[in-house]
Amino acid sequence: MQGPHPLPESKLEVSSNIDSYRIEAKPFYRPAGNEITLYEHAYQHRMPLILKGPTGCGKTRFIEYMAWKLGNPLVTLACNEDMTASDLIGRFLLDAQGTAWHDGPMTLAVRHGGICYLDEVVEARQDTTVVIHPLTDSRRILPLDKKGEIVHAHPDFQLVVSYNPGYQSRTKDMKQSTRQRFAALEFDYPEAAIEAGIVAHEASIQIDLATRLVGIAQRSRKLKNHGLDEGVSTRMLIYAGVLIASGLDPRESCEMTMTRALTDDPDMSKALRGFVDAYFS
Amino acid sequence: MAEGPNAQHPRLASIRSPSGKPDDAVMQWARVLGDKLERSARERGPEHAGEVLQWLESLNDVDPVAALAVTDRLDRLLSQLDASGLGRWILTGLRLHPGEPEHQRRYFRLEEPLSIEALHGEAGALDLAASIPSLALLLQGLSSTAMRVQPRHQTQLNGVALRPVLTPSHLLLPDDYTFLDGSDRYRLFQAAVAHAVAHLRYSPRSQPTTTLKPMSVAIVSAIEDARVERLIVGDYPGVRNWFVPSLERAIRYELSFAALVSRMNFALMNPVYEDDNHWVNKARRLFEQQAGDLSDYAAFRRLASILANDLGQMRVRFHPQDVVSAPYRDDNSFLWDHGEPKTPQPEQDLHVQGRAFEFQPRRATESNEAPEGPQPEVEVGRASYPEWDHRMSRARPDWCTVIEKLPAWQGRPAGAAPAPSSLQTLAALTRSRRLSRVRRLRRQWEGDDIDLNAAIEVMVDQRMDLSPDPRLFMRPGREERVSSLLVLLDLSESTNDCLAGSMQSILDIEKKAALLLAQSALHGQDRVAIHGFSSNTRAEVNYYRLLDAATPLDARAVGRVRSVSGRYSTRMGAALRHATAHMAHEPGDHRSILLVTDGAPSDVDVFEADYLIEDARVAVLDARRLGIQAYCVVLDPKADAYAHRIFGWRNYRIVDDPRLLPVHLSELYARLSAS
Repeated sequence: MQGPHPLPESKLEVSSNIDSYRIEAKPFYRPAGNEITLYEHAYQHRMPLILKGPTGCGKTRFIEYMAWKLGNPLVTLACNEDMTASDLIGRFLLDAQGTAWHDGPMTLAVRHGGICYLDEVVEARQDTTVVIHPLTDSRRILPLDKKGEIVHAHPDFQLVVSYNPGYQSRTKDMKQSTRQRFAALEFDYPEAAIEAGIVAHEASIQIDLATRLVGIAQRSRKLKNHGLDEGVSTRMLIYAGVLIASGLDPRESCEMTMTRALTDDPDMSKALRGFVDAYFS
Repeated sequence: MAEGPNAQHPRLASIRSPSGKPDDAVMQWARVLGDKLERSARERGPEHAGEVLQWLESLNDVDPVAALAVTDRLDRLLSQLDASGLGRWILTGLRLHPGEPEHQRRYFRLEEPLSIEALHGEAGALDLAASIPSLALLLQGLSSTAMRVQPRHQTQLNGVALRPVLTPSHLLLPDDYTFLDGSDRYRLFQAAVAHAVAHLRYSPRSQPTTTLKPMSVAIVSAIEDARVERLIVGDYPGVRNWFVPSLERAIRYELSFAALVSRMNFALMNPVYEDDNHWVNKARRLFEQQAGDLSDYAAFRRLASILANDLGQMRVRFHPQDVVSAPYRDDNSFLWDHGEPKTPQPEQDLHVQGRAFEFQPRRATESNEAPEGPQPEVEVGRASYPEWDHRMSRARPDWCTVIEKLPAWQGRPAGAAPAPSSLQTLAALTRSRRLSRVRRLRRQWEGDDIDLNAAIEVMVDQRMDLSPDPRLFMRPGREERVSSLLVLLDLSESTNDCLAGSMQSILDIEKKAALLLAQSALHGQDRVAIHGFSSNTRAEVNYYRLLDAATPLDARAVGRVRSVSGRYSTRMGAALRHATAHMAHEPGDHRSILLVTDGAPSDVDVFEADYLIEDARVAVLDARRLGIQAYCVVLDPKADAYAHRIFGWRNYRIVDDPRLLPVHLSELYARLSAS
């Protein structure tokens, strides 16, 4: 008879666990500036990092690329409001013998080395994110108070968090005591030419087509604060490009991946449709 | 109600035959019309019937026979058209056969195929008013500048068809495009927007016309139109399809000036078009020779002069009034400075024609019509606040006096009551909830901690070979959190401006939105207060507590909110400080101030634009230090710069269409109170 979460806990299994977080194939990433150099310097000192920028601009792709480049496992955690500290560091579960401790994903990265990436960190409640404090100063330890253990971080461990400063509700912000532990890299949608290159590569479409898609996105980004919280992201452009490459009409594809995805407001939809029309005859 | 038709439509009584005397035919017409209008008023409201009447009156002035014909067929027409559609259908008839009353009458009797076609065309066509919000966004996105789109209202049936007008801040679109201008009305509006963007982006503005003859001005304008359209098609390839159908429709095969120009316009946009006219072909040849460098305005101007000169030698006659270009092209007043006294500011000259989006200053007499109630305003208390002087980088202590008042004219019936049904159109307010450390949920499928009692039972069950209950976790429960919101209304004089085409002022909409918000918040635990302010120098910042938090929203409170009037100026900083002082005593986990304003802070004793903006910014920062968030909704499309400075970059929202204010407020409320 077993508890509801029967997880084996031998050392061997756990270390193979962390290996499953390794990135095998080289992710495509085109730098928009010198962010790779900056990251590498920060990594040399295992400095905790914030990646901030609008949604779909390439934050996650960047960290995947860097993890691959540095040969480190990447443990990604998408944060949400219901997430608790236990979801990060681990909890006791029942098994046949009694209670057994199970490391959370972050503890896994701390113990065995790797980049722990907390995506959209401000979505987690502030009292949850406080557990990362001892990890992000010179101590580099993770106290597991329930278990009575102090995990000293593996030399390869680095903490990276991301968030989108644009759309969260006003009260969702990082505590100063948390954010001052991090160095930050700011991301934005790349310049038109670079963005077009990215879209062309990722969606396997002609650069001319990609340039038009980027043009639509840039128009939509001008409407920020006028009814749109965010404009069309690079990711949306790639979706649009992928659908066009698979044979869909460009306008239908944009309608599906941009206009309808971005807004429910009929006037805004009409304006976005106008942008699409302006680029695709 | 009605003894006769004239009873419900007093204007019917004043209808005269064109000769000025009432005659039997006209009276007969008025009677028939009265019945039909009454029906229309019942079905679609008195405003609609009034507009129909207006169109018919205008037609009666032009041709009473035609007006009678239309009246006879009014039921059928109105079954397919609304009032503005009917107007456009009438315009189509008059424009289709200018100066031929017999043909016009056949059209109005629906005896002509084109008449039916136009009817169907108008039935499916979009009204300009419905399209303006999306066109404004389109213009903003394509041009990357804050521009307003407003309607130009056709006031004369036999007047020249209106053209768009472009100013540095506005694009005016005519509301009299008809079936004749194109079947896809929205496409036509889009073309007008794209053409305006082309001018904004590439045309030099206000060139002097001193040395140019009118014909040269017309040709230079047409060439400039073609040049900037070529450039904009380079940026947005799809807009060619917006332009081409209209240009093609505008073509006339004559040898008049307008016809030649229309053919040239089309030839320059459509490379496959072939024309047999030498001048048109020369224009095309010269243009294409220069097309390698479209940015060289001077070269195109020289080219246009050559073409104008040729036309002069061809003895082509030019009448300024018969310049007919494609309907989406503006009148090119944007390009020229005729050296005349400045044309009036758009804000002043638009309100006569506009309907939807511009603000129409209420006449002074009108605002004085409000009955002076017996009670004056009652002063409740005074407080002094510092004001930040950004030049000295320090606060001037006790600089502003905030006077808390009860509004005068209690019980003055002002504005329409928010109908209960409109409440339902508001997005349901989302309850903000948070985890509670006090409530622990036991015996959960998942959780942070093991519920010890449940775990023991599991172990016991296991030993006894029973199937254990797997719900052995414990996690914190949720509780609703209480948030306090203070809606701070700007009650300055400018909020009295009416939205054109409606009797509602900005202030009315502000009040309505605030009341709706307060009503929706009643059902939860949230506390919503409505306060307002206006200022008359630093010595008198009036502050009205219209509705306090946790007081019932009864008739008195509603009356208080409704009765407050807009006066004086907007000294934002002092009002924000006073609001902050109120909020500091409020309970709740989230305390926020939501300022609703129609413009930047200003006051009569302050002459430096930045001074009050900086002061307000400091007031917002002070509030934030006390844990009170300040957020702003601005009804000013150009508020980006100052709203950003005062409130910080994601703490404001610009509402381009004031009528959407209630929706925006409730959205913001949900966002502010969410955690």
